[in-house]
Amino acid sequence: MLQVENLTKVYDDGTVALRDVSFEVAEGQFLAIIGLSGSGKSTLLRCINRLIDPTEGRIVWKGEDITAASEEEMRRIRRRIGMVFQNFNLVHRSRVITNVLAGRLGYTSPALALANRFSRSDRERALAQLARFGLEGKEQNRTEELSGGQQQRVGIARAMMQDPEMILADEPVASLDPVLAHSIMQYLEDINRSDGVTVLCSLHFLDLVHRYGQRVIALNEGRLVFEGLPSEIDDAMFKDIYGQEAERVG
Amino acid sequence: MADLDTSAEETEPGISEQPPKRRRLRSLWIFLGLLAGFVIYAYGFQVTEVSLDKITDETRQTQLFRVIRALAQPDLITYEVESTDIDLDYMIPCPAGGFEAEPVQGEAIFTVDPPCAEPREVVTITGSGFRANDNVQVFFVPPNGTELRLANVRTDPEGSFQVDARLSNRPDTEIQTVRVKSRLNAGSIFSPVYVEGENGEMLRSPRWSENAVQTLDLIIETVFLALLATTLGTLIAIPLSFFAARNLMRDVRMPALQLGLAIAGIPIGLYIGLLVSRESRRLIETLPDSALLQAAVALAAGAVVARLIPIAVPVPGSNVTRTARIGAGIAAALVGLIAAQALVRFSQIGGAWAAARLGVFDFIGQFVVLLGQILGAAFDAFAAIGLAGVLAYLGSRFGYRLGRRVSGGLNRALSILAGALAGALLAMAVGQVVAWLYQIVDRQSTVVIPAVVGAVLGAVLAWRSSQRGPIGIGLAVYYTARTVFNALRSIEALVLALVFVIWVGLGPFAGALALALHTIAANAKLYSEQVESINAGPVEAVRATGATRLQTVVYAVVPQIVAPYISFTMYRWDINVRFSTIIGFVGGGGIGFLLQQNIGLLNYRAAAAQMLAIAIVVATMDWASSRLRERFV
Repeated sequence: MLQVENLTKVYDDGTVALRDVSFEVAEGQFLAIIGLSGSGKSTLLRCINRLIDPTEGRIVWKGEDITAASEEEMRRIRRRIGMVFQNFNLVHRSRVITNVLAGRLGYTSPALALANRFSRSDRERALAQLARFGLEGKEQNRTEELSGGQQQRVGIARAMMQDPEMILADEPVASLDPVLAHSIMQYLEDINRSDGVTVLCSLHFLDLVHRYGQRVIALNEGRLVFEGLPSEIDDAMFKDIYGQEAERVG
Repeated sequence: MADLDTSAEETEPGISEQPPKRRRLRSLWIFLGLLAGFVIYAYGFQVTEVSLDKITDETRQTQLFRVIRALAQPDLITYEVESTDIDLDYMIPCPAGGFEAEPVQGEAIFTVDPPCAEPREVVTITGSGFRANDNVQVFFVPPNGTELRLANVRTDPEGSFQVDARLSNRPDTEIQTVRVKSRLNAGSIFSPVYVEGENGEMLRSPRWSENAVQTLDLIIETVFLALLATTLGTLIAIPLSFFAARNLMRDVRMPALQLGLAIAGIPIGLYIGLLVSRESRRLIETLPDSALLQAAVALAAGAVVARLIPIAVPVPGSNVTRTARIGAGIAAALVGLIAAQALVRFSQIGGAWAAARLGVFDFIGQFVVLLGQILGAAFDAFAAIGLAGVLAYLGSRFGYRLGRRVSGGLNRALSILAGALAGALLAMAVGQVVAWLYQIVDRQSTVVIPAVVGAVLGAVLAWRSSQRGPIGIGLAVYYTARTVFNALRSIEALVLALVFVIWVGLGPFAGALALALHTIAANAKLYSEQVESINAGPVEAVRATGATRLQTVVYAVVPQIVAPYISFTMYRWDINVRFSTIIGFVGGGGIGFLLQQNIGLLNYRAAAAQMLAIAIVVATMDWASSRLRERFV
């Protein structure tokens, strides 16, 4: 169970990204997060693994207070939370296998970082993850040689290397065309169903929300404006979330 | 063209729409700007003493042409010069009863008529059997052996000559000598000289002139000087560049308590490091001077360190107790010191052993010995700085934990205390530097006063931080590093070389050190700008996996900067080669020394050889570095 209580984030320049957001996510749920660009979706996801420190409020995950964790505790918590990004955030010049292995860093002695070494079992695990996401034989390629859809699968493989109990996906398909978008979403759905990983996924398109989301929360200018089932988003609700001039496209 | 037309149409109405007053004002500004430019250039011409007279002056032009022609004939090649001396006895004045010299024997012979004469009398010298069309010199040689020239003459196609010459004013009772020197023209590449050897006619072999050999020697020295300077400078610049990268340092913030204890750890670490380093050396020196034994000690100690490190820095979340971790860490540091000391000894002994057996390649053995010496000399510094770093880290961890344990008033009090301690320590360090610089012996003003002032400042900072949040120590380090680099970079390497010449004496070592220092400053800045321009996404992603800061740098930052770093290093080598060609002007070694000397001696043909060598090397480096850089970017 992930509990977010009265979460508020004010950036140093005074921008209020989140205002008093509270919600809960059950174990094994696929939660979709919707809202316009700049509505606070990315900030919310980054507060959960403390890439961004929230200004106020609490985040409790499995009984552990994430907002109060020390740096060391936070690293231990982070390694159980995988993250997938809109721009994939892979190191382009590194090989695919290196990018995937980076997911194991939280389980590796920091002293080995300088030697650039991973255990044999980590390497085997990385190859298995690549195979799972249809990237066999690509492990020695430079990451920049891969297509967008392939790169996002590398990103998911990296997150899966962490043995995550939760995955935060920040607009994972916004940089991909619709066909690839479904393929990536199906992988996330499979991870959610087969591995029992909780998924928090921010999305642009409502049809993806309807198709993959088990529950939905909606943000507008940092406020939580909707929490419920995807089917409950009717036209009136839609205009509340996206503004009165918005037209449904998908 | 179409584009141009439309843009003209678009802008013209725009201008005409402006009110006439503004247009006039604009014209006035342009006029004033042009006027200012005119004045500036007029003054510039005056101070640079631009003079057309000097350019067109005939004597100056003659000088210039002489130099240019000399430059076109670099002193690179000489020909063997063979000279034959043929001597004939002679007497000045004629002794009573006259004098008749013994005739010259051999193929080439000559006579002087008359066979003895009064001083300054004109005599006729007739020769035959010489090389055809050759330059022949006639000398008078008094008993002291100086050759006084009487005449220069050219032989006819038969190899004969006849010349009248006035004798020297050297009356003597002893028999003196008239000498004819037949010497082949030194020749040039355009008029080769043939001689008759044992196997018939052959080309007189040209050989590299002494100047050419010297030039080659020094140009090699120049390239290696630049290589060493670049390597040394780069090795130091790379770690420093991370401290000068805003994006890495911006987020490094610490509560005052943590920061204060970290700073307090530094002097303790320096002191203990120095002590331990000396003790470990003493320990190693008690062992017998056997290369094998030292190697074995180094290997064994290294293996122990490799075992200890995973205990000291375990996988996060594993159940190694803190005591065990700290114990293993300290043990690893101590054993590591012993390993390193043994390695130093090994390289000194083993290098000397190898140098004695490698023959021509003994410089490799000597290099190993020297490396050992350098490492040994720098050892105390390394150990002290290393341990200071470790203790600063431990202090910061302790401060962090302590800060999380206690809260409220106690926390604030501890923070202020730690701040005061750190402030006092830093101010005392500054006080010591000032005391040394100005040779102040008064301890009151270099220790006590700085300590009090520093403590107060530190306490105030800590108190402010308890209200405003953690101190941005990262940015402080960033600004310090940037300032130092900018200041260092603004001093030209030539000036630095002057300082290093005072320190280590004339020669390439001074030049290498000067260039290395300049390279550190220049490249640290370039490198850090590369770090600043990396894509932040991967850094965020790696951090999200639970990686430490160091792991994040190694896996997300380093792969993004390797290529530009290599490229900048190549470029710097290129620049350093260019620079090391003139660093000899101030005594910094390399080819510049020779060049300056030859220009000073007006020996332009020799200088031309050095200029040619510089041009070839710089052009080659330029080409090679750009080719290599293409590969990496």
